[in-house]
Amino acid sequence: MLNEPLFLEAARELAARTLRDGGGDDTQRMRYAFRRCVGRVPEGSETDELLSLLKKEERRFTEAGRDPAQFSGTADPSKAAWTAVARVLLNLDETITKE
Amino acid sequence: MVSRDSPTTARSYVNRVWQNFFGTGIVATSEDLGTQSETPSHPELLDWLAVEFMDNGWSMKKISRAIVLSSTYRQSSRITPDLYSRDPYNRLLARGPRFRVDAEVVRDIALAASGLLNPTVGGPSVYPPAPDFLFHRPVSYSNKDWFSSEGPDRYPPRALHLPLSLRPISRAADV
Repeated sequence: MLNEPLFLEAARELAARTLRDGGGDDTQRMRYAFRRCVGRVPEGSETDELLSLLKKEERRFTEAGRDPAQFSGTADPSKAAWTAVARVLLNLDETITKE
Repeated sequence: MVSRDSPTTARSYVNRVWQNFFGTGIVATSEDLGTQSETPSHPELLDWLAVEFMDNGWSMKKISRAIVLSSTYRQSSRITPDLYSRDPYNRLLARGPRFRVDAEVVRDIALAASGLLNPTVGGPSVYPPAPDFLFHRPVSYSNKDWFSSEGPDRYPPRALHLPLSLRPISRAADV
């Protein structure tokens, strides 16, 4: 189920929404996206970990031979990197655990 | 069925409400309360809840409120190795509930968090995009055609609006 098209579309939409409404810098955007999934703001160490994932994905999607559009629907590497982060956020244990 | 002399209906109902909040009912087999089911972990609590439910005119809201305001529900879900070894499934309720949501809800959370969830309630079943293999043997008993909806139906409402064969719960193992 988590590998179905609908989940990829959800990740793309979360990425698009985060880039549109999430705020002026990546830290603010990360807090926004995290909060939409988990319902609380991330701790400093969580934000750092996620931001380093974002950077890593951005680098990966700018490499020659990569086609970000295949993954995120647009050629923008930043959008693709955010889509990858959104997939992580939507799959967090905390996102799908009731406590 | 709703006679006070025969409280099975009320017991069964409050057990399901309890299960929604705690992940497991006071009787773990909420679909089967009877001589062949598991025995309740807290029989007196189940009876108290059933009576409370009937006394309050079978009010869902009041029984839900009673449960979520209880000290049991409001406990921390933090677990120690000792607690875990003595009661891994928390049947004795020495800590607050913590559990993975049902497969339908996993899907609905992804749609809600991303903003794709269509909040409409009611109407005919919807046909969201789905992977092709679901409609062919061996996953399906027979080969079927599937046409994904386009437009507003593409992002369906909560999973309860899906055709039964496509409810995530029938494919829970995929999670």
